[in-house]
Amino acid sequence: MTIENEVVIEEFIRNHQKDLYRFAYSYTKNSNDALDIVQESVYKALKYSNALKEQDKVKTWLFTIIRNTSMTFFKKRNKEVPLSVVKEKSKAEKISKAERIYLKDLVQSLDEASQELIKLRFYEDLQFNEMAKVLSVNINTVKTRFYKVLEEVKENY
Amino acid sequence: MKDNFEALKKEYKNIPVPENLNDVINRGINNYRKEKKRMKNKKIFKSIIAASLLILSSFTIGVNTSESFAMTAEKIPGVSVLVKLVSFESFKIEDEVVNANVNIPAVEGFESETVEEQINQEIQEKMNMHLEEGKLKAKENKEAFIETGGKEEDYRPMIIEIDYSLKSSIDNQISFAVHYFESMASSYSKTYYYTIDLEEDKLLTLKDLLGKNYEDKINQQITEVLEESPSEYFQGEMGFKGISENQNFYINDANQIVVVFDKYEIAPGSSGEPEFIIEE
Repeated sequence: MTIENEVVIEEFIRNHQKDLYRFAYSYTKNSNDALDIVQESVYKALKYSNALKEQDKVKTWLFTIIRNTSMTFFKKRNKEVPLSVVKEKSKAEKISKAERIYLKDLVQSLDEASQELIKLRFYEDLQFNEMAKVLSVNINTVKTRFYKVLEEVKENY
Repeated sequence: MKDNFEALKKEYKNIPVPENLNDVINRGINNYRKEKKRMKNKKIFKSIIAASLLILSSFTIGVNTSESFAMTAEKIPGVSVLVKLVSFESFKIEDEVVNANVNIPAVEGFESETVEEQINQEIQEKMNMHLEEGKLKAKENKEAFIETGGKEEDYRPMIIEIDYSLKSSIDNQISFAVHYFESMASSYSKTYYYTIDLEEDKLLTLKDLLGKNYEDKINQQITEVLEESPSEYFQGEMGFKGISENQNFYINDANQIVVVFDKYEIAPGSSGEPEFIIEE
């Protein structure tokens, strides 16, 4: 007999609490909000466990829920949704090369959507197809956007 | 380039985690469990209502899968009773969340109009309840599908089918099933069985057919079958633990009593809705 989705999801949640929290925090930048989002996402994931199509994709799937829950959370709060479309920055907005001594500053100077791509790829080690799932966009879009961001970083590093 | 990000990754992974994270996770899980329990209780409550109706009209409820068409007991050779099983209400729903094909039956020609009405009303109410619940579930599921990363254009509406089948019509007795089926990521189905003594205008129970010791009789026979092929059924905690008070059953064409279980009740989904012929 196959193990039920619900069981797989709960086990993953229990074993990866910190990963889930951290991922929520990366959106909210605030501990209390991140906890709210984790609680809500855990509930949603179990309630809609049917929606998980492949059990080995449970991590990506939970990340997708956390991201979407964060987006909804921002919308409800009438906050600006931090990750909409990649915004083209004007030259004036760009910080001069001399100031960008550290990669961290460089990353932080990017728009939110670009930072998110770096986060998913380099910090969470997701594959492009997984990133596409989490971001609910086409895999080619993810690749194009990601390489564009990488180019931008390289150029200024 | 990736290596350059190692230090940042480390920093990212070192975000301090609040002490109460575990409590928050547990709260999320418990909220879900509580709701699940509430849904279950709701179902139990409904079956209690159903059970009390059973006592009033002594009637049986059950499960089955077979497809069916409008049938009348009249058409079966050798049957002279005028009671008919007819299609009472037939319609389709096609919208963005549900595709439903509904065909609800009714019985006709009873001597006692009260009993006839009672049975028909019961069937109507049960099927309308399932249909409404199904529609609500479909709506929620669509929302969840989108929220959990699905694309609007990939969404397939829930399929709902309500139909009935005449199981047998022998002497002054008819047995039929009313079947509710829904299918999404997983499928759900529920069938209600009615076996009626037409001479007495009475819904029959297993006790009526097999006598006082009906439980022992049935349990013993089912246990024997289960032991022959244990791999097809759940074992231990989840396995068969005796028939329930309102065990589903019908009478087949060979005038045998067939006891039926819900899908997943005593066996994995692959075994469908197990049926057992009971020798009298």
